[in-house]
Amino acid sequence: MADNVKDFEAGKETPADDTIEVSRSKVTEQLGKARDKFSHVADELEKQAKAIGEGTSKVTQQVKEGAGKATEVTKEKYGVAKEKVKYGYGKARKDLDTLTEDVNEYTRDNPGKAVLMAAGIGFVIGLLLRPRRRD
Amino acid sequence: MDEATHPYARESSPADDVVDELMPPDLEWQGMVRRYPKTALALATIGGYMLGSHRGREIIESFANFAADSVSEQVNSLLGKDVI
Repeated sequence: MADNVKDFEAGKETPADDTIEVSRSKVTEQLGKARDKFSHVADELEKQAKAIGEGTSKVTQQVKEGAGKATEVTKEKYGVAKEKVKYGYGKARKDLDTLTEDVNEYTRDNPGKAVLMAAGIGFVIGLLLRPRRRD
Repeated sequence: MDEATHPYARESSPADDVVDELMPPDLEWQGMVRRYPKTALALATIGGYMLGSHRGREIIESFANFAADSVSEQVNSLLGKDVI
């Protein structure tokens, strides 16, 4: 111990200095390794982030395409349904007009029969729908 | 327009005679029905409905009694004595 102090005072290198130097070099080496590892991890994370971003954009694109297709199909089906309803309504209206015209013609040809039939139909309906008495 | 010269004028049918008996004699109902067929049918339906809902049961019973009397009368006249 006394020799070490003398060496230190004389400006000579001591074994402690060697130990410190070795430790410093080891720490530096470990820090370099850690830096490399962090750099590698950062690269990996960046790659994964890029991959996720690309995947997200692909999914978004696919969703957009799907929505566009669905809109087109819906529009097409709506158009077809609209045409069908229009056609059915027109046909029903035509049939109703024809029926009304036929009824009018029959009534003009046979007023007595038509009136009696109408009264009979009303009579049956009234009989079926009359309020029941609790006797 | 006179009934005889009306373009829709036809020979009177039994149904026309029945309605004629039910309607007031002054009312020219056939011409009205021909002029306003929809209204006439609607009024007839409403009238029938009112009759059916208020006096339907009595009317049906009367018809049933009338039919039974007619049948028994026919049978009795066929057999020559009061069987039923």
